Amino acid sequence: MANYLIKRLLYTIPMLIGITLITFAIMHIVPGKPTDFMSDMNARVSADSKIKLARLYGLDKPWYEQYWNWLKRFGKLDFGNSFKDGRPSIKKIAERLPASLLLNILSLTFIFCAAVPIGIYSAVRRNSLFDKAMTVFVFAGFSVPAFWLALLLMILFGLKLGLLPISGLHSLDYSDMGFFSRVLDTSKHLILPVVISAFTGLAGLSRYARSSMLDVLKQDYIKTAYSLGLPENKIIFYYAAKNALLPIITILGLSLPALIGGGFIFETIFAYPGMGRLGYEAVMARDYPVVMAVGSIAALLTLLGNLIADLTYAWADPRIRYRNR
Amino acid sequence: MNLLEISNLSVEYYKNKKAVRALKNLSLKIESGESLAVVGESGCGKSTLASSVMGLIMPHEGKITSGRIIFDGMDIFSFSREEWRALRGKKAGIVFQDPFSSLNPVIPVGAQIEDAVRAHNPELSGKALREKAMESLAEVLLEGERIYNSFPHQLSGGQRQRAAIAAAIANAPRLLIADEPTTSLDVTIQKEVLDLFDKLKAELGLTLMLVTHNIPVAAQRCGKIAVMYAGELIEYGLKEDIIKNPKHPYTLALIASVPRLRDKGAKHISLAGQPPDLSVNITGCSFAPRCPRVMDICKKTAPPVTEGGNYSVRCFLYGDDKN
Repeated sequence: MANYLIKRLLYTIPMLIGITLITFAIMHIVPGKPTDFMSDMNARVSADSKIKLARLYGLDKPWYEQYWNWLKRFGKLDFGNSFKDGRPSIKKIAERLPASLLLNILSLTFIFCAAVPIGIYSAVRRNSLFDKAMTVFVFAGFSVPAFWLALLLMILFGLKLGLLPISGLHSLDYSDMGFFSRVLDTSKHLILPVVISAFTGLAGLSRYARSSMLDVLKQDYIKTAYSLGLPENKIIFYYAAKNALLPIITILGLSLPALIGGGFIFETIFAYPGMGRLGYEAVMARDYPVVMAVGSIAALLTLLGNLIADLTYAWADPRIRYRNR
Repeated sequence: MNLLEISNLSVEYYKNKKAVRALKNLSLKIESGESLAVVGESGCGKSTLASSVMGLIMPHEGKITSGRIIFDGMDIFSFSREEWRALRGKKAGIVFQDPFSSLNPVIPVGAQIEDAVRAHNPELSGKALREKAMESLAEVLLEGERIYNSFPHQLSGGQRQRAAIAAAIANAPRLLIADEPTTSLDVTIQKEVLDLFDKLKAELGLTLMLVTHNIPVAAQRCGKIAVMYAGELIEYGLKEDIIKNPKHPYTLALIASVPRLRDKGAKHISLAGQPPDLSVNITGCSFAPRCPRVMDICKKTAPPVTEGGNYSVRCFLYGDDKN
């Protein structure tokens, strides 16, 4: 087990290098330099000072040398300062991360808590009215773009009904509020983003849970359980569900990176102070250090998510757990 | 006394939106304490018969279109959900063909047997449950402690099948249906498992319905043999009558097709052709296209059943006028 873990952790190193290398290369292939905003927009900047500026940031060296320098600093967990405002990239991320985590943990929890029961119920009562209604819902969830739905709901709840705020995470007078008003204020701001970001995920995952459950219900061991006179609830929620939920664990692990990611379109619409917008703005400004910091943290989380999924899976499935004994 | 009386049972499966008639007006009875082998080629409906008795034809697979099954004096098709549950595992048990798929892969074997006990003895506490499950494992000759906490994948095929049998007999049912219980096992293990059935029969007074495609096994282990073809019962009788004096040309061919070690040479016959497509309505005898003694009438009219005591055959050759 320990061997396996060490092996897996060592494997992440070349992967991480590969991912960051590609990100770095792409950022440098894209036209435009970070210094352009400071120099090209200003007619009074001479060609000479442009070169000086580039040298200051180390941009005059070939890109692979720049990457090597970045990698050396990355080894010391130094993500460098933003080209845009000179603040440490890691600090900029630390500001945005809690908001992203809050939104995504809520939405992911909501997705799993709702999708699994819906999937199981749809499978058990296959072709019932509920199952058919869910099929329509899933179809809608897959085909309706989240940003469009977001706009519609913002119009309905924010403008027409005036029930919910439509942007940001806090109201303007947040700092003057007491604790409970703050919680209430934040919750109100979170409702629309959470519901909308959960909507599409819910559609996919409930479908997945349904098909996994349907598959299990056809297995011989379910017939055996019936033949032994076990109560139906026990058969469905224990004998079948325990098998059907195994693949869901993998999906849960794969959705861990989404915890910090989040869509930038989505965050832009809601003016939500999350990581998605930070990454997008950094890309647009060619703010290399921030882009690389966001990218490598996302990559690290993805690899970690995969590892956690595999470990959980092994823990949950005795066929894997006992393989090497 | 008859423990099981099946009369005019018809079952249809759905396959590609076509109805496949897996059982056609099948009637059969099993006396309390006897052992009956149901033999036939794969696809002849013998497993469907076993599933019907346990009420295990799942709604998405197919349905029972007609007939009655009387189990121990009760009409089981009138059963409520709870009555079915009380029958399954408690009064009748079933062992399936493939021990690799019939046990739940993520639950320890002991817990699965315990659940079977608990289902019918809700008053028992944890310790008593465990004891009963252990007894059951001992009954099938498995060393309890080690097997108890094992997951199915940690056991051999033979051990798994024994564990499945332990679960099926945990509540001492009167009828045990074994649906091709040894087909997916090694030959040496097959004998052990079949010996186990003999032992259980003697010790627990089980009535056994052994579904198999293997005529020698049927002849060795069972008192009576029922031969099925294309969803119908074509010959039924005491083992001695069926093996030594088979009447239906299909039974004859089935017995003749068994390879024998001693008489080397070309004596063993294999039957030409395939069993009929059950989604098509058959007029006349369903065996007629493959029958070496086919007559004109066989292709036009369904053959009559000739009955006498513990024997019946469905064939024109043995109609009243010729017998």
